[in-house]
Amino acid sequence: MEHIFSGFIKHSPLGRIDARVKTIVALGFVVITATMQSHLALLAALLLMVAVAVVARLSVRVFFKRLAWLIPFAGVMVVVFPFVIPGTPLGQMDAGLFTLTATAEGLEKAILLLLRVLNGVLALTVLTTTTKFKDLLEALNHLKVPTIFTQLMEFTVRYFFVLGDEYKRMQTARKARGFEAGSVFSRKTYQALGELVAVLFMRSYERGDRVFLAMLARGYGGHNHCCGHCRIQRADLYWGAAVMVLPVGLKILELGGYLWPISLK
Amino acid sequence: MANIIEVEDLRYTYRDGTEALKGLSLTIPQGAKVALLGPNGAGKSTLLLHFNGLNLAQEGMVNVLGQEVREENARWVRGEVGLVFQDPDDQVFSSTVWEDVAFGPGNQGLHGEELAARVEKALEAVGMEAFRDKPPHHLSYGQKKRVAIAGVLAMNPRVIILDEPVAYLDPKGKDTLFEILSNLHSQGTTVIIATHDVDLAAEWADRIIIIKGGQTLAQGDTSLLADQQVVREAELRFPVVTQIFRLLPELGLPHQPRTIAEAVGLIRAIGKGEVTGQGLV
Ligand SMILES: Nc1ncnc2c1ncn2[C@@H]1O[C@H](COP(=O)(O)OP(=O)(O)OP(=O)(O)O)[C@@H](O)[C@H]1O
Ligand SMILES: [Mg+2]
Repeated sequence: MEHIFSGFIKHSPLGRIDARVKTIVALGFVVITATMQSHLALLAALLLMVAVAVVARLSVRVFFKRLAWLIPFAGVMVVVFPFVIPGTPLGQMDAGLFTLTATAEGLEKAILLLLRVLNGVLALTVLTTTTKFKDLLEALNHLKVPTIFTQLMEFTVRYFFVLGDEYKRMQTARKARGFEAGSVFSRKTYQALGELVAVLFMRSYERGDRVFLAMLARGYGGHNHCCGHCRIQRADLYWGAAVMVLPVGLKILELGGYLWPISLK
Repeated sequence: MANIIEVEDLRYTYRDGTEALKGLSLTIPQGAKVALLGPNGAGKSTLLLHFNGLNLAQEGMVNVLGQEVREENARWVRGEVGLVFQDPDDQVFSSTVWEDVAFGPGNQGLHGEELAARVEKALEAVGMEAFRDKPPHHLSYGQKKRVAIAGVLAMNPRVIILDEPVAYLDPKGKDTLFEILSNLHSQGTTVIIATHDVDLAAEWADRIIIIKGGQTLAQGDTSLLADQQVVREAELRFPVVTQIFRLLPELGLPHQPRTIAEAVGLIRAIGKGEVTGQGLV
């Protein structure tokens, strides 16, 4: 099974930066870019994040893999927006029975959404490929995110594998005894699959119990330990400030209205 | 020697009504090498879960390091007593081997260099350093078992318990494991293993505890393993060495040997003519 956080960059220069600082910067960046209106400002922020990603040695492949998760949601909207938002017509497309009209306003909205999505995904990809999962949870705990959320995250990831492995083992054992998924219309196939799912659930439930016991045995206490001694270094803060200065600046300018002329262009 | 673990009249019933432990008592001296034996379903795994506070006594008492194990001190106990589970799939779940081994010491509050040093040392001890960045679910069963052991070694417990540690280990892996355990033992760690391997128990342990049907059948030194009555009752078998010498009643030995070293000594003595029909002269 593929690792959820596949693409973890082992010796990334960003790996050394404090996870708390990285988390705040990434989340801050996402919030700011998600509320930015100006294309130009968004583009500038994107360029900055691309630069950070290059420094972090993020591979293009990993980034696009992450982006692919969003296609069903944001991707569809980006494609549909130009045609459904009313405004000045830009061009027409004949689709047999009906004609689709793209509008300038729609296109602008689509580009805005696309830029925001790219910014957000890139920032979060940089965060998750340069931070160990455990450090990330720890950072969230440290930033006073309620334990229930971090625990939920933690167990989702852990049990994801437990369930997947259990499923694989059962599949193999079935195959070993000659089971083959028959035609899609065969009743037998559905019966076998139904049983598989039911037993999978029971077994995962019981295994989950034992996994939890084993975690307790190694001193798990429901929360991730906070780093008492690993204090945030000055270098971490400098890095954080350096990355945040541009988006924050752009946002302030935008709020102040100085950027209106550019964004109207 | 003081007892590091004392169990008195312990009873434990599972939720479905199975009485797994029925008034079991035993003592484990500090610094001992204990082999816990007993047939399938005897209650070994259930008992071991009591030693580090995962199961709490429903009746009776479990004492660890002079303190009664209770809800309140269960976390403390888990730091002192490390438990390696029978099935490594229950224990090994992190995204990389390194992170899995770091899980325990991380829970103990270790960080940074100190944590890394502990993890590296534990991985080295089980010979898995080369796998540190691999996801554990891609490993072979024996390799997972090693990771599970490393995960507990890294916590530096005072008592280390291994539930059926040698199943699925290759012969070299078995030897390595016992080297590690001997090392730990010489540093003062108390080691307890639950096993079905009588030869291993005879060679390695200095204390044998045999349980059956949720009760202690016998506890003592390895001579128990050559005791016909105990062995029959416990559904065990004699160690191979003992089996051989039991077939040679003409030697007239007062005690049957149990380990290879003892047997070799005897054979040498026979060669030199020091053993007659009346035993050693
Ligand atoms: N979770 C459970 N729920 C109900 N009964 C259980 C549970 N776990 C174990 N038992 C029962 O408790 C008894 C003791 O089981 P335990 O696992 O302690 O045996 P064991 O000595 O470790 O056996 P083995 O040598 O096979 O590992 C058995 O009768 C078993 O069926
Ligand atoms: Mg068992």
